[in-house]
Amino acid sequence: MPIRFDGETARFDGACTADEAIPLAEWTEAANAPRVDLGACTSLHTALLQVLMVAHTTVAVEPEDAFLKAWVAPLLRNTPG
Amino acid sequence: MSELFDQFVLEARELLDAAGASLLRLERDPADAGAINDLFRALHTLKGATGLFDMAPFTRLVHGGEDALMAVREGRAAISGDLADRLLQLLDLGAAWVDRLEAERALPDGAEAMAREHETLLRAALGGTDAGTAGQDAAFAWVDDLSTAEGERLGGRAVTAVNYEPNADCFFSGDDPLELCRRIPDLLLLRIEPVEPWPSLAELDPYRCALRFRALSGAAKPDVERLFRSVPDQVRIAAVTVKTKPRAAEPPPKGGVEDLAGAMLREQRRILALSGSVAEVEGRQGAVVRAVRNILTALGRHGDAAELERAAGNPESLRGFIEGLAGGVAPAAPISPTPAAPSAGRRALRVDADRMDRLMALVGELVVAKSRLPYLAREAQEGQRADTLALGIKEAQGQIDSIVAELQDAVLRLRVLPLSRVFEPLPRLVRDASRRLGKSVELEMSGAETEADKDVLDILGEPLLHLVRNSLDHGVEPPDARRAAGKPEGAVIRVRAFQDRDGVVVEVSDDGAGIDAEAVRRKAVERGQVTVEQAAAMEDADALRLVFLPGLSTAEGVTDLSGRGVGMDAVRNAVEQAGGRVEIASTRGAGTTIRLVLPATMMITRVMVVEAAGALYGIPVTLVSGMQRVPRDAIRRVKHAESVVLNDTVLPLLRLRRLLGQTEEERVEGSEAVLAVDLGGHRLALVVDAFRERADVVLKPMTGVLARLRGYAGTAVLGDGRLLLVLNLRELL
Repeated sequence: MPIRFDGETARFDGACTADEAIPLAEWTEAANAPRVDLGACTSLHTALLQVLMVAHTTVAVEPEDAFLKAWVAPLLRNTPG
Repeated sequence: MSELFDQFVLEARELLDAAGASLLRLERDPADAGAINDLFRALHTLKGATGLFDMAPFTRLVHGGEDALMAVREGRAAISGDLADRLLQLLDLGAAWVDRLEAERALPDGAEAMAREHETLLRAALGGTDAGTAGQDAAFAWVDDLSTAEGERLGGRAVTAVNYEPNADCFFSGDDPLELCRRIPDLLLLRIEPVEPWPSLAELDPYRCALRFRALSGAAKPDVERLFRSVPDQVRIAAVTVKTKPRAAEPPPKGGVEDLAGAMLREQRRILALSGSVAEVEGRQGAVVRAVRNILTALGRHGDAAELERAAGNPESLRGFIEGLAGGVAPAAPISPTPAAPSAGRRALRVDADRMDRLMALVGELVVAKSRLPYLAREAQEGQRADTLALGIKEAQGQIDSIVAELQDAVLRLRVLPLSRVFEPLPRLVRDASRRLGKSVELEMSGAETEADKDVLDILGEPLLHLVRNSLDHGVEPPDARRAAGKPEGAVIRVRAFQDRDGVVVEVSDDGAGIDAEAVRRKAVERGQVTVEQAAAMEDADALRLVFLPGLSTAEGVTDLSGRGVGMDAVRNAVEQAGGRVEIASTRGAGTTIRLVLPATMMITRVMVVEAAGALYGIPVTLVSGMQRVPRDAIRRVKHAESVVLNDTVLPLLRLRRLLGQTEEERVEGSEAVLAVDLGGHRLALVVDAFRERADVVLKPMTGVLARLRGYAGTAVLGDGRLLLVLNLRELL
């Protein structure tokens, strides 16, 4: 399971595919201040990214993956708001 | 290989046809976004298909067309008549190559040069407006609006800018735009933005892509284009120069080899999941194993490579293995297969699955019904009473009868196809011809969904082309003549098909000049086909029918379209051979309508059974326009020529006995059975001994020595087992 939902934090692990988009959307809707741990995420499907963007998800742990760190993580606010 | 190749030939034809139709739509309405998308899709799919085989020139040819379309879509070029001409030529060449490939399995010599020539011609037709420096292009204005930090980082660099707006449903075709952007070589900048303001989370459909991507790459434009070649319709790429002062550039984030390998493995998994025939699937499997082996070797994972060889034998284990390698990555959604083109292939018969199922079900029923027979046979052997046996046999017979009748119907249905097949080439014909003749012609088609037997369609194709060509060439006047006549400059040619009691009717009408009956009379007299007296005695409607005589054309000049006087004659022959007939009506100055009436199926012919000299003969019902008993004294006789007035028309009267070389009964009293027969060109009355029933028969052509008896169209067996000779009246007369 590439995404583990851990209370208010979703932990992304490895290549996360569009299959996760529905569970992720449900989780973000239920969560108060959804946070994501992208530390071990190696690839993030566009469908997941747009869910995170709409839900104003914040980044709890920055991704190690250079591409995600440079271009994707900044899109997700780093402070709750 | 061979099965895959056959499939390619079939598909390529369909795609070329589809592309041609879309192109015509686009030319008519350059703003038709649907048309350009369809066109694009057809060419793109075709390009992909050519890529499966070793035919680089073909790929190149189609790619050239795609490029030109890209320019049109991006507004860099307008779809002009010239450009449409070039694109149509390209499609024609493609079709010729497909024919060639089918026959010889290879492209003609010099194909590469031909492809290149087409590329050059297309570029010329585009007017050399090929953009390269899109600095001023509004779509790339954002490049000039970079934030200060970004501007400082990139300022002054010549880069490749990408505007990538994925289709909303792109996830369903397995695209992951973000992953695609990850693979942009030398990525300098990536902006990800919602296309529209975000909806609320509850309203968001996660499976519709709502993001767009803007990127700058330090790589050359062709390198970036190569990456996006699978989504050319969703991306715009241009070489631009970033303004403002340069500063040290941050090293771009790198997508590692591992990522690339992962993406490639996922692609292999997707390829494995594609459906297709056994041969295709096996072919793909082989290719996938090779690709995965190479990927693993490149990664130095030799242990996995050994594992691969073990998994390669079985498709399931292979899929599992690749899945494991790709980190369990699966495409988001089932890959939607490319929708099959609605048109049927030209040579292969495509059968509706429902119809096939019905056939299977009926065969099943027949097998069950048949199983009653051995049981009855045993009963007979055991001395069962005759009346009980007869009852059993009758029951079985009734059952089998009804199944066979349904089966026959089901088989006929298999061969029934919509007329759209023969309508398909018409738009292109009208477009090309009207352009060449400098006439403005609108083609209106209706009833394309009307169905007819495949053989009927095959026969209908050529005559229909002839008729439309004729209308274009002779029917429709040049624009100035139309203006002078007070008509709108744009002419209309209507092609209408519908089902009628007699069969399928196809009508071609134009609002052109009409046919001058007087000129037809004159021409026919000049050619000695009728005498002056005959011509003078003819009604206009009958005179018009003379155009169906061989060699008669009222066209003043012979153009490359028609007017050689072979067309109408050929039309009539083809249609009558299929058991149909041709009708014509024309009003001077207002237009001409020609109507082809064809039987809906060719296997079953409805005949009028008549008796002459004690034998039965059949005459196709399509030729019979009436039948009645005529008092003997109503038949007028001038020397040997007889005539009769039927429905206020004087018709020459012939006797079937005499035509068949039989002796005639000499009766003075009573009345004669007279059939009014319409042979397209002329009408006549035919005396027979007696009328019998109408019957649906399966007509078998004469074979062997008998084939030389041209007076007969064939033989048929009547319901009660008697043999019927079906007459070919035209030959007999």
